[in-house]
Amino acid sequence: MPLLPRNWPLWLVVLFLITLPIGAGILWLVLTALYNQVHGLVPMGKLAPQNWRFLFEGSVGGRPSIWVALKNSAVFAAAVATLEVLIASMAAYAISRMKFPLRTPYLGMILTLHAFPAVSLLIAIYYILRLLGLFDTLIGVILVKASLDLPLGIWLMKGFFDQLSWDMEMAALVDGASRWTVFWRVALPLVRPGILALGTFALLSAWGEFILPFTFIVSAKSWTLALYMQSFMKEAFVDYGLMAAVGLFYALPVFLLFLFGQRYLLNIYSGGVKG
Amino acid sequence: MRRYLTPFLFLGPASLLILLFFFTPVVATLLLSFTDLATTTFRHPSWVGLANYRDLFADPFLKKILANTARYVGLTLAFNVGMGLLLALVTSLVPENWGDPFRALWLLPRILPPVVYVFIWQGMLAEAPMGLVSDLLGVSKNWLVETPWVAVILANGFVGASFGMLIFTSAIRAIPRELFYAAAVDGATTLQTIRRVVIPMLAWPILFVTAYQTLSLLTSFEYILLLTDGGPGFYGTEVWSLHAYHLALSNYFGNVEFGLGAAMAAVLVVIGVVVSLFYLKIFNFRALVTEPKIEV
Amino acid sequence: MRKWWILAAAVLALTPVFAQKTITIKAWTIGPDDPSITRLKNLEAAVDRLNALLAIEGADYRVKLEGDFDTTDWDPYLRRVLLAFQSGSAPDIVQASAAPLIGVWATAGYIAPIGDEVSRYGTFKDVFPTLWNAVTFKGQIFGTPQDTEARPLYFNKTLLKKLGWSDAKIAELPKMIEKGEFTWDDLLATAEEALKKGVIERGKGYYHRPKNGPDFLMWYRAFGGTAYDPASGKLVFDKAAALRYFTWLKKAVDAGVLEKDRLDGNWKRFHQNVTDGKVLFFSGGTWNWAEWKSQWVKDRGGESWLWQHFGFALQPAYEKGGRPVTLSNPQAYMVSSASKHKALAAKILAFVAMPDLDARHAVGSGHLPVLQATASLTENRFIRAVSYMLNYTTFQPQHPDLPKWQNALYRGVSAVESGQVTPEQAVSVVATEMKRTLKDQVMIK
Repeated sequence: MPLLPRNWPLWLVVLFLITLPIGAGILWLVLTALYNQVHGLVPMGKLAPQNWRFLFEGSVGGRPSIWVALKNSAVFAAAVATLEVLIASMAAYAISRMKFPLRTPYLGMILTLHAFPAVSLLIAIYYILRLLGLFDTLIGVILVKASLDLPLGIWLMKGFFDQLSWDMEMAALVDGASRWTVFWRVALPLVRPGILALGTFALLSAWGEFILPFTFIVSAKSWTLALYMQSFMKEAFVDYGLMAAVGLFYALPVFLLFLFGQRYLLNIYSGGVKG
Repeated sequence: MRRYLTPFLFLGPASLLILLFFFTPVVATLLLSFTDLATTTFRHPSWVGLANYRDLFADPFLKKILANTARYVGLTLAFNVGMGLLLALVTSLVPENWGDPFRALWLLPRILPPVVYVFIWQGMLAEAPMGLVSDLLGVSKNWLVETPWVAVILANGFVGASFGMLIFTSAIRAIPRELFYAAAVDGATTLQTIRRVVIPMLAWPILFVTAYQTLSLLTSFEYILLLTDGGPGFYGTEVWSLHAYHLALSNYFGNVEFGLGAAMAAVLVVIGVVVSLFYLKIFNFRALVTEPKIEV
Repeated sequence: MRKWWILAAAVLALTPVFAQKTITIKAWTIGPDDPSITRLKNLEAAVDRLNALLAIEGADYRVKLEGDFDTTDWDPYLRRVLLAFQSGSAPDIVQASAAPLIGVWATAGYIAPIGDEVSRYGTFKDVFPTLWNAVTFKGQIFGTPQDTEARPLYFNKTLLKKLGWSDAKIAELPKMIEKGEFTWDDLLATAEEALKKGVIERGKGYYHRPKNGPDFLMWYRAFGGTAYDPASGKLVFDKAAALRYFTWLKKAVDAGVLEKDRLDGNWKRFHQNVTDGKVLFFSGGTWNWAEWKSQWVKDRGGESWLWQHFGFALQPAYEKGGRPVTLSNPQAYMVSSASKHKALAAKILAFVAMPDLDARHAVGSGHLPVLQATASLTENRFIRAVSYMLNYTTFQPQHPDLPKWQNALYRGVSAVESGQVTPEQAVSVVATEMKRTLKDQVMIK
């Protein structure tokens, strides 16, 4: 607020108190991953490198190696982000710049789908994947994930294109460039902030995705890190240290982004990206 | 027709994916809900008309699931909006260089992989020595089993609160400074300023957040699935969307009922379509759809 | 000329390598208990032996096993298997509970009959004859027995002693249960007394599994119920027996002996409290013994700790002089009908049915062997001590609609325990649901 209240340190204390659970949770994860045993938030005993054995042993309890899961997760997240940014940008560009029949209803549909809860479609999507022969493949899950987040992406990118001045594209068109060249060479570089925002959002969202691979992937060789981690959580006998280490390993990119790109993250999520 | 070729090419990939993974599934969900598709009938399903819907509403325990759903959506929504508002206000009452890091911290539950996020909750709620809550209270219990609803609502709430927080924060920032100066001249206290200046300006964003999150909570079940899987006890925290998922895709004896599950999902799909169309109307669709900047 | 000759020699020398085909066989197995990983390891060993033999025979192919062992739980595993069956990407070999899954999957056409293959291999001749019933559906064999087990009622000897029981009386308990002298009501009374005297905490007098499973059918039988009518081939629901069972559950919850949210889906909590020595009576499976030994009490002396603190018996009868029961849920390896190598898959299964592998699995995972040779050879104290239970064992009926029957019963149990309905209401709810889902396939008595 423009006028800082005189007693703002008091409000800071309030803020600190309500945020405490989040801090405690993260601290618990880190300590549990590092130490032999943790009582609440007090580490007991020695540092426990054996919590990290999943990195060195080929497989833990018959699971595929974590490096396989890591590779799958990386491929999954990268492919989803690339597809989503590319396809959403193309569609958004057309909506922002071109005239075509049913343009308004089309935009209305995108907006409706943006609010529409896609998880209710899981059962039916299973049949469609099966029909396409894409069930139990990484490609199938990539397509589904990219599609379900598409309305959001189109909406976001349309906003960025709308803010762009038309002059440069006009100049290029007059020079005889094709519509595609204008899009690819002129417009797209100008909406780089939008691409970065949507790309980061898509990467994070795909990196954490659980329900889709859980439902549509059945072979362990296509496991992502989410499935790898979940296979430990379902077990009766819990090795908290090992699981915390797996969790920390899995969430590391997110923590790094949080540590070094806080302001950037805030900008993206305040920019109207839904959750 | 040729002049429309270019827009169609640009829209092609997006339209294809939307057709495949939004439109076809909506239709397929409705169609499936009229069949008896299940484990044993997979190769030769037959049409059963409205039988699934009849079965669904004949279930004596549907009341319990409906009550759970209302409880989950209502309480989580209250937490999300209330906490979002509190966070937006409090982070605005401290200097920016303090407010921003805290806002970022509240984004963490949302961006952490759900599996890791839920694992942290499970660990903190476990028995001593691991469980932090048991440790603090001095009573070693599994608090996930003792107080499942508190766990479900808080776990979802900590994820959901940041949505309101961000939207309310931008709304607060958009309030003209003059209004604050006027309040200060009148000698208003901080709380009076909030009540007289800030809250009235947040009415519309609050309505938006409430509307938006009602729909997404109604159909979301990822965190409940991971946290309690609908338990403990008899449908302890089983909500409508999770029950649909269980019926159609998960059973201890491998006896899944796609048809019945699809009927439950179909109800959600219809609600989803109707409500999101309705939102489109009240949130001023025409204003959002500006004409394209230039035509060729 | 010379160069040509060298080249030819090289080609000849390399031919067996190049001409050799590798056939990949996919196999999915599940514990979900960790020690049962031998369900996969034994397949791997069998393939190694088969490959060695193929090398000696000079065969032009070798087998590569692409195996998978699931430690999560039955519902995700069966969902995975089902979706794989339906999408045609099923593995060649699937391991799962023989009954009722063979009935279900054979009806759906997902698994292939392998009777001809079975009769071809000598190793199968040593399998206990009763186990073939478990893998037979409509007169055809659809799988090979992998293991079996019993589901005992365990008791905590230390707590009983604290309650004032003499060592002799504790040692006598399994016999008394076998003779029908110690019934479910006696169990309840003992637990109530323990609660009153402060020997146990509230709710920890009796534990049963925290989620759905075949055990509920077993307890329904313990209270005198029958589930199947062999004459008509239909399922049966006995209202009087169900009422007895539900009423007992209600009494146990009201008395503070049984937790009202016992069905919390949390195996972790079950094993933790049991191995912390807090629970007086608890129904489990023989495989739990192996889990406790190798995981939960590993640091406290392992199996010797178990022998010192835990005892086991059959599931009691409901009236004096009645017959106690247990339930066996034999596991089977099945061959999927979509497999391109059915004969080869069956051959691998024949190589698994060897006493050393059978023993390794049984001893390591707390299951009972499927081969008679193994049973007579094993020196394992626990396996010997529980094997008498097979005289009292029952199986799940091989009816494709059994899961619906079981789900309805389970819903009744959970509704009663959580206090949603009275036992009488629960019985009528279960009966209505069975009629609705099973139609003419169930007889309500």
